[in-house]
Amino acid sequence: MSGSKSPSKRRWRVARRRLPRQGGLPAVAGSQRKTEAPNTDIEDRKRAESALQRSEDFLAEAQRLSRTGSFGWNVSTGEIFWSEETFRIFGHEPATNVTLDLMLSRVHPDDLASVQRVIDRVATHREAFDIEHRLQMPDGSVKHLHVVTHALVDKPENQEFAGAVMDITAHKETEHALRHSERRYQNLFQAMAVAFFEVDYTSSRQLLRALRDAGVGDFRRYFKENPTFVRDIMRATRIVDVNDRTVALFGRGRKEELLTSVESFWPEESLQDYVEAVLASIERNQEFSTETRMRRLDGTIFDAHFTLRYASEDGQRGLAGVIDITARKQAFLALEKSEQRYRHLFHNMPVALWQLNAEPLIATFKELRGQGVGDLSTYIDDHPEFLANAIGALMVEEVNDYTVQLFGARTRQELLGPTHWTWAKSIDTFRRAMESRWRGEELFQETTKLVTRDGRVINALFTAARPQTIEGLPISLISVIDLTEQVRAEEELQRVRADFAHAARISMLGELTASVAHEVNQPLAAIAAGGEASLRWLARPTPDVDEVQELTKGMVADARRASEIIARIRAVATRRAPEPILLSLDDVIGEALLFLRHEVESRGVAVSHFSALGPQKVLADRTQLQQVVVNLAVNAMQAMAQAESKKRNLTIRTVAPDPTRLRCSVEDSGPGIEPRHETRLFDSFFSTKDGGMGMGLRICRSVIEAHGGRIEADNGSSHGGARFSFTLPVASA
Amino acid sequence: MRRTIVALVRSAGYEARGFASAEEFLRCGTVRGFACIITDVQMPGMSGIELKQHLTASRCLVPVIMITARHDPGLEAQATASGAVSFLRKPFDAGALIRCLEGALAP
Repeated sequence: MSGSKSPSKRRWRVARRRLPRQGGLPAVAGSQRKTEAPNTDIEDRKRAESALQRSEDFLAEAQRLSRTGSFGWNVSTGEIFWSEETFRIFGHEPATNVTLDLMLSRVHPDDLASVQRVIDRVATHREAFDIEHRLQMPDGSVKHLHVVTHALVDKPENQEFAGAVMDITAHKETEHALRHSERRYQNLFQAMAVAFFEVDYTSSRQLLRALRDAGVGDFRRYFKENPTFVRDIMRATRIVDVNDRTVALFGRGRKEELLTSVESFWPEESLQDYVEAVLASIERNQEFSTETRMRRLDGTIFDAHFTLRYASEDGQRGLAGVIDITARKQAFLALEKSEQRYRHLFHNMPVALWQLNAEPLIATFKELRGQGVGDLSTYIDDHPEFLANAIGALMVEEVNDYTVQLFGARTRQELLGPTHWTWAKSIDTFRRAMESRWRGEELFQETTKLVTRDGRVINALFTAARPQTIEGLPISLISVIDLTEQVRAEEELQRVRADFAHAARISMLGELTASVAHEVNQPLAAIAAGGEASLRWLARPTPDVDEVQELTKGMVADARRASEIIARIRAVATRRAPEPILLSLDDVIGEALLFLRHEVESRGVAVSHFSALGPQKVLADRTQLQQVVVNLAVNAMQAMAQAESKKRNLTIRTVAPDPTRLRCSVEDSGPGIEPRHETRLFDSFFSTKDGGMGMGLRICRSVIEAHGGRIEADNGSSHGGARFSFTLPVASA
Repeated sequence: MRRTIVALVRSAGYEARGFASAEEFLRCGTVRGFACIITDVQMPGMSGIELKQHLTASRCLVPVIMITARHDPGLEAQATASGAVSFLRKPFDAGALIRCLEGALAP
């Protein structure tokens, strides 16, 4: 607009309207001044007009692109001219009649006073101005304007101003964002838990350039051969700013101390790391980071994570970040050590260990709970396929050497994955382990039978541990202890015990030979007598068939009785493995007394058997339990005989002292137990009998204890003699 | 056994009756009506020897034959001393018992 001459509002507007837009003409730099030039030649005028129009078009385009409008203001007449772009900036249609009020109505309320002041000053002092202010647009948005004017001084009596209105909203926003980001950067720089320092490479770059100019191509090699040069570079690398964290990490409290070179940060041992950083910069890498060791001003060295970023394009400035990783490194080392210890233990323990990934199983559990399953046991009853699926979901991830050995595998790999192969004999154990996990128990343990890879069956103590805190991973640790030897030893012990009891029974049969013989002879004698009698009936002149028939029936019954007695003796004499079955304690006592009937009769002993038991049963081997009762009864009868007691009473009682136990006591009317013998009664080879081996009570104790019971003796007999009692656990079911 | 002995005695042509114990026999009220008594030495309650002693004390002189399954030394001497006419050990031969019985009843 500068240089236009006295443009009247009307004329300008008319001129603008008169000029239809036409493109394609050469650009003519110029202004409206040309329109003022007198020209009588029509062609010239036409040419001038089209040139002017072109010029105006270009101007309008330029204004639009630069978001800069123009205006003219005749202070004397109050006339105001706006360019097309100015109208757009102010948000008015170009035809609007421009007045000061129209302009002021758009000014942001907060800026209205200052704009008014500027206008007043212009009107009074006719001064050019340059202000920034805001517009409040009808849609609520705010525009930032930069308005510049200058006076057209060639007409002092008719003061006019020409000006430019720049929409600087976008610029303002950028500036704001920039300021914001700068503040943020500063905040970060100071507050982050990372030591940041800004370095200036200008001098060190010069050193490197000089080196290159001197013909050095292989920097790495050069640095290696000239370590002092690396130090030179360090010294030439200046620290221009540090954050508080750097002061805390490297310094001694004063920031200024650190604003020197980076040399002191780099101990000899880290020289190579520094070289790498320099090489990275030479190779124009934007960023470099490494773990290294750095030095504080006080000389101490620490583990650091060092990052370098070139802040400027030309690589003159860089930002270095240092994190003290001493603690992290130590923690890592400790972790590594503990991991190694775990590995070592895992692989070298003389126990089979498996590490399982339980993640899919836990997902299944979660799903089941989501479906409202409360009791897993019931669920398994309804969905038997669950167990196979669960085995499939539990993957062995690792096993130790001992497992490979114990499970007869050729390689570790054979044991990885699901464990279907091991549960053939013990699916119930697996089921209980699942139920235990379902209940959230951390530990499950059971002795069971596992199938090995080579098809053997081993007795094992199976333990599953589910530590809850291994990095949140659902890991199970399984240990398998081979109990095969132990079970074999246990079986061997049982066998020796059974042999021992058997030997004792044989020995007792020996002691009871007379009674045994009598028991057998009794029915045999009856049969013989019956036979004789029959013969006599038949030898009569008139054989009495009825009598013979009766006698023959009796003989058959006696023969049956004889074979029963022999079977009973045979059972006592036979050696066989104990076979625990559910027994009534009173039945066993009755059988023992039957066996002793003759002994009791011949010794003239009065025997009574009182029972206070209901239907409770014990789980025991019949022969062994009979043996105990026979032994205790024989002991009592022998004691009474030895003491030549006149009155010989033997009472056997059974009671249930509590719901879990049954007791049987054998009471006699003998002399009782001498106090000095009390503690040794159940020892081997202890006997008060003439010619006694001293094994009877020892066997009784061994049998009772093998059945989970206890045996004891006192002088609490109701007949005033000794009382031997044993208890056995009540069998459940 | 008792039943067999009764049958054996009857097969030899005598009338016979069995009792479960000495006490039962004594309670029957016709002790003096029997011509001979055959008893076991060892019985629940009163023994055979005690029975003989009891009969002797009540001046009942019915001959008594004693049987036993025991082998205690001195038992036969005790039985004989008590006044038993015969002493048999089980198992005994049926003919032997009949011979004892005939001997005891011989005039």
